[in-house]
Amino acid sequence: MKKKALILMMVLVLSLSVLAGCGSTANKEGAVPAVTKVGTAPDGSEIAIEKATIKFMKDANAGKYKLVSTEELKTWIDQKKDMIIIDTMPADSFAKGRIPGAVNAELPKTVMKDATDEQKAAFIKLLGTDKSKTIVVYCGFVGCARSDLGAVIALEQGFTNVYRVPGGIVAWQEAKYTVEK
Amino acid sequence: MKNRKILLFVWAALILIMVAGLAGCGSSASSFIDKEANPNINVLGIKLNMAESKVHESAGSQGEKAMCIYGYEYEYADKLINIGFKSDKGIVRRITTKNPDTTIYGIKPGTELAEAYAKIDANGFTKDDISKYRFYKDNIILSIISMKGTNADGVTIEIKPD
Repeated sequence: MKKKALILMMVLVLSLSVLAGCGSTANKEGAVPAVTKVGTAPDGSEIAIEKATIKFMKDANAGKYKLVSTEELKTWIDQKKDMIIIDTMPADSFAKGRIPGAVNAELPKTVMKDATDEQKAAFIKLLGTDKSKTIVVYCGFVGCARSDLGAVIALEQGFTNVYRVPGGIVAWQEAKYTVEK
Repeated sequence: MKNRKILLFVWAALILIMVAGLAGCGSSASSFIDKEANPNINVLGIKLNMAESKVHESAGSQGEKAMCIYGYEYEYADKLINIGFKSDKGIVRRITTKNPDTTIYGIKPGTELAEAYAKIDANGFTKDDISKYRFYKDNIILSIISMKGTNADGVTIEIKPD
């Protein structure tokens, strides 16, 4: 009877191991350690943060647009400031969560020459015709360059009040502000 | 006698759980990727769900790392490819190529859009409701990058984000 109970226990443990193993890919050869957070440096690497900061500063200086913080943008939204907020992330990210009132036009995360004619046209269409209107552009996080391209396009189109939100949707979520879906 | 019947029942249930568990591991999404998507990806030997170290090996360099909303990516500028990884697993989630020596579902970057659409159609993809460059099949998204609306200048294949 003891032997049977032991075998039963072994089968049970084996069954549970099999089921538990299904959801895991930890044993994939060469896979990197788990990092679940998203952002400029999910592992807290100062090197990554520094690299992103330098790139951000270069882009912002070259772009000549203004910056608005997550907190300040929240105040603007609460004050119902007249502005257009454009999310430059892919459509599926936009659908999952966006800053309230934002509209979507995906732009590439690399450089302007990678933006297709269709992407540029879709972005420009969202800007409207009032060149003095406040335009706020954001993407994922500080290390994301999509919003830089958007802000530059808006300035090229003659808009004078163009702002980029450095922290993007990740900072907005971290601040625990309401996300629209 | 009654005890024996109960024991038999417990045994049968446990065996069923094990079989179901083993079958579940290899089924659905990853099965489609292994059986259909990956064999249709001819990008320097890089495949979906491949581990990061193997990707670097296939690409022949480390590439340049950047973070994404769904994880991180490596840009191999000299090879005209960009590979996205799931952050929690370190395996390939997305492959983007602009390299004319590569193909995804037979689409070679640089080919005319009409030709690319014909191949996408022949492979049973469904068109996105909004974008004319985005297509779906099983848990896979296939996207065409068209700079001027005439050619397929690049192709992206990715696993739908969780």
